[in-house]
Amino acid sequence: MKPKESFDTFSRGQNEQNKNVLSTTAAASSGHPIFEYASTSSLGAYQPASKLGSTAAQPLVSTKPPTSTESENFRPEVPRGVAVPPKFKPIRSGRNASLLTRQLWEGTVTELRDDGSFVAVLADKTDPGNSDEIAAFSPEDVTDDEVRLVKVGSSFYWIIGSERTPTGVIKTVSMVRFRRVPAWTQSKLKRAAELARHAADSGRDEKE
Amino acid sequence: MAERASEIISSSNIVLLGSFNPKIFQPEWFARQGLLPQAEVDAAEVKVIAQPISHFETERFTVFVTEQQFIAASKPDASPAPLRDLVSGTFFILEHTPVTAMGLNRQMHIPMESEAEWHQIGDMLAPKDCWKEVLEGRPGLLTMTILTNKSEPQGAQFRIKVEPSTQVTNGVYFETNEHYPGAEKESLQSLMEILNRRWEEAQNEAERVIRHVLSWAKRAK
Amino acid sequence: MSRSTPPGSDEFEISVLGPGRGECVVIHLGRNEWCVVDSFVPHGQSESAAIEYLSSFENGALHNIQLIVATHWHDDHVRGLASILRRVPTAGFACSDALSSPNFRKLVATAVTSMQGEPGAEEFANILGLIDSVSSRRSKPLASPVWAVENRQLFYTFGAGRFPVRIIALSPSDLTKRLAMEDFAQQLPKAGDSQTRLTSRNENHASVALWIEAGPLRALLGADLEHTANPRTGWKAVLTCHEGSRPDQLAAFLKVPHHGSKTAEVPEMWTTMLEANPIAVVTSFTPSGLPGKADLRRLDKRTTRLYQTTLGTGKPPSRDPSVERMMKQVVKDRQVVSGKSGHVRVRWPIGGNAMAPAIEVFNGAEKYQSARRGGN
Repeated sequence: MKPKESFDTFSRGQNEQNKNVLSTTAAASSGHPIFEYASTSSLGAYQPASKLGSTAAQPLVSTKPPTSTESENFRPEVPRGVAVPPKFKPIRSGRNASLLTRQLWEGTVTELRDDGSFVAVLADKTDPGNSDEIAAFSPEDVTDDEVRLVKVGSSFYWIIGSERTPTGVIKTVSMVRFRRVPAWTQSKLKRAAELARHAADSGRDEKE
Repeated sequence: MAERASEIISSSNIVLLGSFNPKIFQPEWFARQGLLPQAEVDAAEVKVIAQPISHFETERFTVFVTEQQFIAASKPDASPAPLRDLVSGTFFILEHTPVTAMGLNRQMHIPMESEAEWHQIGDMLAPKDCWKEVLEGRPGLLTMTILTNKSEPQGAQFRIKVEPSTQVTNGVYFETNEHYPGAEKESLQSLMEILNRRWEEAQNEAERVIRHVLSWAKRAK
Repeated sequence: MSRSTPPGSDEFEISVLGPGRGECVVIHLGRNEWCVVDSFVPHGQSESAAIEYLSSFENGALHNIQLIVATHWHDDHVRGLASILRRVPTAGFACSDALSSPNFRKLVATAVTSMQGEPGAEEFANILGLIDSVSSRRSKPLASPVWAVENRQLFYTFGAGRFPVRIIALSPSDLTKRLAMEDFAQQLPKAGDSQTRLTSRNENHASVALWIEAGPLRALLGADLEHTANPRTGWKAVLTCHEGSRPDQLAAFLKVPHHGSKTAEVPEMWTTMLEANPIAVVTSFTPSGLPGKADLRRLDKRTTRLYQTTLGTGKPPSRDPSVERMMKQVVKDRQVVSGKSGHVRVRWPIGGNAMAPAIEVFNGAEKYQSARRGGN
C-alpha cells in the first residue's frame, strides 16, 4: 500500500473539491497513548485502520487540528502533565454483544389511563411511508427511572431488535426508551420570543 | 442481506468539529442536565477527564471530547436512536459552542454467507485480475473509500468506506459518513436542525447503500 | 364519472378528503376557481392532498385557488397548507382571529425552537413566514391573513355569467377568542419546564366553522367546533348569531363537526341550520376512535344521506414475522391510522330547473348503511 500522505494527495488531486475536504468520520488513530488503552469497542463497531497491519509511514503525532470528521489523521497531542490512568476492564465485552434494530417507532403519549398504562401515537421511523399506529403500553414496559417521564405529550422510542448476548444467544427484544430532552432554559425561551417578535415585525414593515 | 444476520455488528456515532471545553463533559454533568439517567452515570467508566481530553463510557454510549472535536457513539449492543437526543440535548444547553461541521456516521460488520461471496464483493470493487497483471502474490482489497456530494445543503458530502472485517469471519466492514458544514450564520443551530430532522433517515440511508453494495455479491452469479 | 374529470364552470362542488387522521375540503366556486379548507399530506407524499386532487384535472385549477382556510392550527388540519401557499402565493389565507395573538406567535416560535418538533406549529410558522415574505417585498401590497371571527365575511365573488359565492366565518365568538388567547399564554413554557409536545384540546372551541352561499345553495362546514355550556362560545354562540343574521337559510350540505363526536352533537343545528335530510359527510379521527358506532347511528337518525371518508382503521403493513409477534406481545388495542385518503365529492349544477346533486365516492369512502335501513 502507498504511504498514507501520497494516498491522500492522490485522492485530493483527483478532485479539486477534496483539497480542503472536511470529513467528519470518527476514527481512532493508532500509536497514540490515549488510544493505546482504549478498547476497540470504545467507538462501537468502528474498525481502526491500524488493525489492518499497515506498515505505511504514518506520523506518530500531528499537531494539526482535525479537519476530518473522519479523523484518520487526528492524533491529539497530550501534554506531559496529563496522567494517563491504567487500563480498565471494560464494562461489558462489546465485541460479542450486539443489537440490530429491526423496527423503530417514535411514540407520543396521548392518554394516561387509570391502571398506569398509556396510549401513544406511533410514527414508523424504519419505514416512514407507513401509516401511523396507535397502541396502549403497559406500565411494565417502562423502566423504573423513566416512569416520571411518562406524561401526555412526552415522546419515546419503541425499539424491536435482534439482540446477541456475549454468550452468543440470539433473541428478539423490545424496549421502550423515553426521550431525554433538557428542560427549557431562559436563554432558549428568550430566543424564541425574539424570533416571534422579529417575524411579527417583518410582517408589519412596509418597505417601498 | 445474504449474510448471517444474527452476527451483524452495528454502531453509530456523531462527530462535531469546533471549539470545545472537554472538562465540561463529565458523566455527572449529563445526569444533572437530564440527558442521561443517574443510574447509567453512576456506573460510567471514566477513562480520562482533563483539559485537553474527556473520555468516558456508559452502558450505552461513549463520549470523547477534545478541544477541537466532540464524538458521541452508541455501543453495538445499544440502539442508536437516543444518541441523537444526547448530542442535540447537549448543544441545546451549550447553545453558544462554536461548531463548524457535523458527521452522522454508521459502522457495520456484515458476515457473508461464504468466503466466495466475501471475495465477490472485493472483486466488484477492485477486480483482482487487473492487479495480478502487475503484482505478485495474491493482491486483494485492503480498503476503499468513495466520496460524493449531497444535493443539499451546499458542501454536504456522503462517504462510504469498505474493508474486510476484522471482527467477523468472512465479513465486510462498512463505514458511512454524512458530512455537513455549518451555515455561515448560526452554524450550531443549523447543524442541530439537520441532526434533529435527519438522524433516523441517515441511519436508514446508510443501510440502504450498504445493502446495495452487498447485492453485488450475488450479481455475477 | 372519473375522479379527474373537472367540474363544469357552473357547477358548485364540495369535496371532502380524509384518511384516518387529517381532513381537507376542496370547494369549486365556479369558473375553475377554488377554495381549500384545511389540509393533510397523504402518506408517502410531500404536498397537500388538495394539490394532488386539483392537479389531476390538468386545467390549471391549482393556480386558481382564491382562498385557503385553516380552521385551527393542529397538525391534522394544517399539514401541507404551506405547500399550497408556495405554489399559489396569490391565494388569500384565513384563520381564526385568536391566532393573531402575540402569544400564539411565541408558541409557534417555541415549538420551532424545541427539540421535540411540533408539526402543526412548524407548518404555521412556514405559513406565516410565507405571508410575511410577501409583505416585505417591494411594490407588493401588505399581505396579512384574513382573521376569522363570528359573522365575518371571508370571501365574496360575483359577476356576470357566474353564480355568486360568499364564505362567512361563524366562529370564533369574541369570548372564545379571548379564552383561546388565555390558553396560548398558559401553554407557553417557562424556564425549567420539560419540553413536551402540545396536546391541549381547548383549541377546538376556537375552530372556524364556515357558512357557504353558492347561488341558491347553502353549505355548513362544522370544522372541529364542539358544544359548550357557555352560550357565548361553541355551537350555542353560532346558533344565536345565525338566528339573528340568516334566520330562514338552511344548508343542504354538512361537513359533520368534530368527526361526529357526541361533544359536537347539537340538535338545534339540525333543525335551524340544515334542510331536512341534508347530505352529511363525516371524516375519521382514529386516535380518538371517532366516529364511533354510536356516533354513526346517531347521525344516521338525522339523515339518510350520511357518508364517511374512511371506514374504521387501516391494515397494518407486512413486517418481519418476529417483529409482528413481538408487537402483539407488547401492546394492546393496536390500530393503524388508515393511510388511504377517502374522498366524497358532491356537485350541484347551479341554475336551471334540476338541482339534484351528483354524489360520488372514491378511494374507499362509502355511504353509511345502517342495519335499520337495510342498506338502501
